[in-house]
Amino acid sequence: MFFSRPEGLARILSLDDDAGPLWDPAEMKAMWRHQLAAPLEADLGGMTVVNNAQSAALKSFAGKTFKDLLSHAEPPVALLELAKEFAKQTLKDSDDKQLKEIASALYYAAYAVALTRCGKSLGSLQGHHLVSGFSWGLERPWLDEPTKALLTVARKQVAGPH
Amino acid sequence: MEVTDRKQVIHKYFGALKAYLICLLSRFPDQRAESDDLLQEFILKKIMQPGWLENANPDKGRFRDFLKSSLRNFVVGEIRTRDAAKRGGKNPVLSLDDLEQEIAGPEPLSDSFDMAWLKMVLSGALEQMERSCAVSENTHIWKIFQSRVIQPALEGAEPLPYDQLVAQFGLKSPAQATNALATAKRMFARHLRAVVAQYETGDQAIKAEIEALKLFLEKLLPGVKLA
Repeated sequence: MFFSRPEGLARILSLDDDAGPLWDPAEMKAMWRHQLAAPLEADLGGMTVVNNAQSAALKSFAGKTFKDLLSHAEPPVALLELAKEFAKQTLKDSDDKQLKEIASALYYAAYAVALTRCGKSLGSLQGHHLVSGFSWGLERPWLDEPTKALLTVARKQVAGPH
Repeated sequence: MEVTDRKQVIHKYFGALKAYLICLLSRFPDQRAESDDLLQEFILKKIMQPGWLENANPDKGRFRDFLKSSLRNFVVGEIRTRDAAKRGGKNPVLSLDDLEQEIAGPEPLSDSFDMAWLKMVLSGALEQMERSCAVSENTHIWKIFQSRVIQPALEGAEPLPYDQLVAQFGLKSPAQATNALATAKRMFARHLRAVVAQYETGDQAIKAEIEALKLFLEKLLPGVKLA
């Protein structure tokens, strides 16, 4: 502290009301990788399970990750719903913009998986709202290629061939 | 105020007072060796005197400014008296006005009282936070804060990269990682306000003091506006 430069002291002092990003923007890629690698229980374990199907699905995916869920050929819709609800709750409760971006990506990825592999919608979002959400995801430079491919297929499915 | 309270004040602000005194005496080569002596005199003749600290009225200004101007005025008086004594009681070569003008010249800011004060406040907040994390068994919060914020800001170290951080501290998801770092920042801000609250009273005064310290740093960093 004694030898610290004013720039460093300024950074510490401005933490008092610092609303800036917590993480370096270049770390968003690592954050998304971390989200995909996270055990489902880590985030969904604290959610209120609303029905037996969700509870059973969560048990059947014990020890599995978000990546396992999103890349599953026939994922349980109940679990995708729970993942979507988790993302929605994070968007509502968190003050952190970067975490909200990660939650948004998870939200649209869950929607896309349900639409493309289960033929189901996870909620009331339809048409251009979904298309713009998938497009938003595709514009994220930190999103991995498999998720981008998923969003591309889902966008095409909702928007139609034109 | 009790004697023990006065001793606490001395203990707490000794570093800042000494730094400022050295800064003041840098303009008086003959007096530089007298800094320890002058500081002891200031403590005995001012701080330890019953009723003196009670002059620090929050309505009249900040406690930091009160200590600073008191020391400055004391030094001016002492140098004048000593100068006169050296000349066998004759009129001092420097008049009080001359002394005050000389002492009020531009300060080397990095050595000033305010910088020493700022470092004291920040050190206090960091120490409190570390202790609080240890007591509440949240040492991981302190370590995360150290590796992401403190070491990069104060030591110029690279922040621990996100993926290494989550691996090292067993953070299972971005929500956990973000929550941990955000908690650390909020804790620090709370301890910073608690340290300032030891010498300023009321939310407004605390906020104003933190803003004043930011303004002081902004002066040192032209073109930088602190949040």
